[in-house]
Amino acid sequence: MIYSGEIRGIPGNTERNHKHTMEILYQNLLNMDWRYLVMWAIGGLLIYLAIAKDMEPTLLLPIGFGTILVNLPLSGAIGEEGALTTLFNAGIANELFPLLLFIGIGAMIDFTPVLTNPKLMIFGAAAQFGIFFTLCLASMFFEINDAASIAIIGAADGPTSIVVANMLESQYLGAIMVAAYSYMALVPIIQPPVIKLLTTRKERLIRMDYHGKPVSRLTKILFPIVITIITGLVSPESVSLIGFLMFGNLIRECGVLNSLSETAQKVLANLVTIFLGITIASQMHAESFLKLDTLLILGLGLVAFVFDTAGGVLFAKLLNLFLKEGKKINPMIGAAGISAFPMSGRIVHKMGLKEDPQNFLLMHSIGVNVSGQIASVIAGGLILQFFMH
Amino acid sequence: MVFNPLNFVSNLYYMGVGMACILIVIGVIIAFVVALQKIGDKLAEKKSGEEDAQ
Repeated sequence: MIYSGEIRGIPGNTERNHKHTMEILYQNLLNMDWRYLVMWAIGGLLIYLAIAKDMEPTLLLPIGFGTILVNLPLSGAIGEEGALTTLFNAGIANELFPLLLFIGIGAMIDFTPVLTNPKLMIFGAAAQFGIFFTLCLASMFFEINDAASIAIIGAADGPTSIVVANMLESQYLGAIMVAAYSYMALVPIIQPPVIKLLTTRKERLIRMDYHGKPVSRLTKILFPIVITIITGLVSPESVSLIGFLMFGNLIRECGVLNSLSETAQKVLANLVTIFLGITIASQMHAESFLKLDTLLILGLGLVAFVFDTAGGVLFAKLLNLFLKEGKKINPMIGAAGISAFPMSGRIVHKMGLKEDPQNFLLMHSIGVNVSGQIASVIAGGLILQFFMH
Repeated sequence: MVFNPLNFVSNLYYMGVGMACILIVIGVIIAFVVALQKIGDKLAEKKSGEEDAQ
């Protein structure tokens, strides 16, 4: 090893420089804090859940690794010139990453089940109840911009949560993201007990006929365009959210851009996801994350998911009061209105099969599930409309 | 963080307006899709009728 004193030919300085170098080596260790160790454990837990439990690995793994990255003492990844800060400013502070991801998601969604039976869309609307209930609940503890951002965890939709929390300038973006993606992965654990609690076995056994009708290409092409116009007229703040989602869907359905559609579904979505996860982690610094507030946000996120599920199920039960025998709706499909696509739809289908192996609810529940995707974006837009100014 | 339980009541307004707005917007979208399907069915019928005539 060469010391600067030797280079300068000042032999007396050698010992001092040696000491200085050792100081540099352990100086950073002196900046170590127990909170960093806790954050490493949280990062490790997220990585474990992603790899061992296959819970939203595309996002929890980058977030977990990023959490470790930003919680090293004097981490160069964050700060004014840190790479993650640069990525955050370039892709999240201006909502670019989540919106680009929405193009990919739009290109992945097939709206045929909902176009075949459009009435199912009403359950997507009802299942947004948890968002507004959580808004009221969170407002008891947080400023209204933070409460609204926390409530949107109930949208069960990562990009919407990021855009809303960011536009409302919430200081809890990191915690909101972790809650949103963790609960989306935990939908198979959260929803079944809520559904069972709110329905009788007789209700869960209700069979629903499915009459598959062909949907014209014109309908499929006009659907994303009209949804954008209608939603945009009611909630201008949601135009970018719904617009990018529907643009992705238009690419898919137009039939002349198959190559772009495939790119949006795979390459674009994957590329943005890589950067999105690790960039979100830049908000997971120990100082801002290890607070009582974070635990409260995680609790409120759970409330949002539970009440979304309850909202959908209870709305279906309410409709059943007015429907004749034979036309009744299996109230479980209401739970699929939470937008976690396609998990929620599949859970309802599996629960139906468990009660009656001949009861196939998949087409209904997936229809409700994709409606939930649209309704959650509308809910996000309304929240922005209410609280941005 | 300040605990203010009265905020729950005062924000119930947003719950009511928010849910009403979502239900209305979704209702309009449903009406549009139903109308579009009917137009599509009629166009398909017309087309098949023309094909049969030929």
